[in-house]
Amino acid sequence: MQSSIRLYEFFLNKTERTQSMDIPTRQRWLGVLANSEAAALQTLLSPHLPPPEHVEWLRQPQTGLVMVEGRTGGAGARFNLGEVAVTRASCRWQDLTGHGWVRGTDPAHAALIAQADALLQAPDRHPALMAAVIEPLADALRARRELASRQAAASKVEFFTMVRGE
Amino acid sequence: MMLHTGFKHPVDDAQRNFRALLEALSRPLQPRALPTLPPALPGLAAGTVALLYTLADQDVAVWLPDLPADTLATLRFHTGMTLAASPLAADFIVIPTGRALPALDALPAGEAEYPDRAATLIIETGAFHQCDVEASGPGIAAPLRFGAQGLPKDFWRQWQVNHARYPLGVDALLVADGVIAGLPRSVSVKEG
Amino acid sequence: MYVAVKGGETAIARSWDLLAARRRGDEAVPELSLAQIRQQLRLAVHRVMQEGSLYDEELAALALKQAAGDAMEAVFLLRAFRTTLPRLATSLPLDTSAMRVARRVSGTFKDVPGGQILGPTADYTQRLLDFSLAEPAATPRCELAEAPLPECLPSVLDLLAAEGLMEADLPPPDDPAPADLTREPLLFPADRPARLQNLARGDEGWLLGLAYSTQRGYAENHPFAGEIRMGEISVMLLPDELGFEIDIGAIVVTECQMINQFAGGPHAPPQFTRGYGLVFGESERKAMSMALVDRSLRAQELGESTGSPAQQAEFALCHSDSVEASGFVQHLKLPHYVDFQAELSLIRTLRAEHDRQQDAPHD
Repeated sequence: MQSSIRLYEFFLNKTERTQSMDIPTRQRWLGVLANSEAAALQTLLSPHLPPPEHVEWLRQPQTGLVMVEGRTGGAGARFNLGEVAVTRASCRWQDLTGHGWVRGTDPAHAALIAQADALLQAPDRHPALMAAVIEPLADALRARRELASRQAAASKVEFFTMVRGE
Repeated sequence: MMLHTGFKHPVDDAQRNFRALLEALSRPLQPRALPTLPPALPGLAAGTVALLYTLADQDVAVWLPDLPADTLATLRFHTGMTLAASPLAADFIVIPTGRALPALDALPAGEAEYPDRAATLIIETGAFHQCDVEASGPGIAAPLRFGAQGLPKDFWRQWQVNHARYPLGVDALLVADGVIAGLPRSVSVKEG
Repeated sequence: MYVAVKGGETAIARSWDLLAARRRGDEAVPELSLAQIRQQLRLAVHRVMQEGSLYDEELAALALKQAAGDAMEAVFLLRAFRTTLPRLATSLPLDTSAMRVARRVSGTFKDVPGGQILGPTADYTQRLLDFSLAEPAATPRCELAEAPLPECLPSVLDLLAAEGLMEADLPPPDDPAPADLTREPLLFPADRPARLQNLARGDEGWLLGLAYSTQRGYAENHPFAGEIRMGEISVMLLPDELGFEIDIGAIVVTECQMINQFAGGPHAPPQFTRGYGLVFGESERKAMSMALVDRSLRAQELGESTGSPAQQAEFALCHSDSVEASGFVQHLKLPHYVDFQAELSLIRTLRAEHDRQQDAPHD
């Protein structure tokens, strides 16, 4: 009981911490960063990165496993489908903490996401970074997904009925 | 809330400490320094934090007394450990300096089929000395004298009761800042 | 008596060299890159990820290269590698209704909402060897539809469920965390989540054979392919340090919802029941086999007869893992010199006894 109260306090603290930038906005940029190509992120983010000595690594990039769950019948009981390789990193820059989690085994990708996450929380850096990094990556991601979806849609079956006799 | 840094080299540092820990448990009550210490956390000694970073992961339930939120968040951040709701549900039970020690005979002591399912205590003490007990058992060539400042008065009497349950019983790690002494359940002590 | 024998180190080192040389083959032929394996042997990569139970295209491609294309050996390599990695977290359950589908077909309804989307399938090829592939060729251009597919395609089974003709499949109270076979051994009776985890990482050939047996009469399944869909799903996590859900990247999965007739029983009216298959990557054959075997393993729960191999969980699940199976079969190659000497001496004694009896004069 005591410990569940403590966990609750954790959450309160977390909520306070992220109020500086609202959660959906931060969720969006973290999702865009994790779905971007590491090389594209590197190119766009490089000019904005702080000097390495200004970044403190709370957690160096680390590769591990995340167990992916499914549900029986799609919506029933949870079951373990299998694991994905995931790399994560966390850093602090000027009192702002950035976290990067990304599927795959690329430590550089996780480190870039963590730094971008910290920088994006700074009100004075936020608008420029959104325009220069997040929006271009989001556009590329949207275009990639739309292309795949339109290719799939092109293979949709159009049934027609043959009328015989009269 | 503020997260603190952990080991500088998480894998290497944990492995070095794990080696020291193995030796501490195979040569009970013969103190040795932990090779690498992370920054201490509010409410916990650096040695205790080092042991938790070395031993805990997301499959491990740790019981901790009330500690600052930063400390709990940092421990969970670096290890993924779950916080046990009570010492009875814990794999590791942490007793920082000055905190009350639960009665040893009430803690998980394992089962006949699975003696390994016992709790391990991590107890912070003052300096180690040689005044309290004469200890013997596996890993102790000749009976040796041991003591630690700050242990409750009846600790060694309780320990002897714990030892009598062997192969069941709790194990303990005594932490005097950066120095540890292993106290597995196999150790028998004589007071005085 | 056991006699320790040493030796063979040099021979082993030589065999490693031979293995490496055979893997590489003729150096006049360019070496395969991991990107080539990922791109051009993607279904082999998917199978290795699926049975290795570790989704990572790069690692699976490396395993395939190292194993010179031996899928089971590659699965073994991937399983061994995963033991070196820490478990960092558990995802939120995948939401397959939010899949960005690349393919979606139903064998039960022609006009499913959203339509039948064929995607990249070999189903309509004539299985004629295409000799033009022997030479490099330009990639064909894919047609694009005017508009993308809807974000969310409803599940075909929801149509039947809305009519009350399909059994419900809802989370049990409190939505408990499932058993994890990577942590705890499989125990019997195994619940459905444990069975599905076993099947999801099981050998495709084994599952296909079991599934086929149910169709040939070794179970009463009467299956229909209600819906098969394949596409990308985002993996969502709730990291403790953030306190909110994040998308960490997408994976490709194939899902199969099998519909089976059910005559009704003491606790349920006549209705359709479900068999479920969900696997990493693109593999309809595996997802369909999994769904058929899932359904046949529900025989006891549904009060059906349980006499067929595919209805017996202990038989179906204990032999599904190619790493375990190949390990036990192949261990016979290891020295059994002493065991065999004992057998040899026993047979010699029995034979001598036998021969003596044959030779003895009959009275």
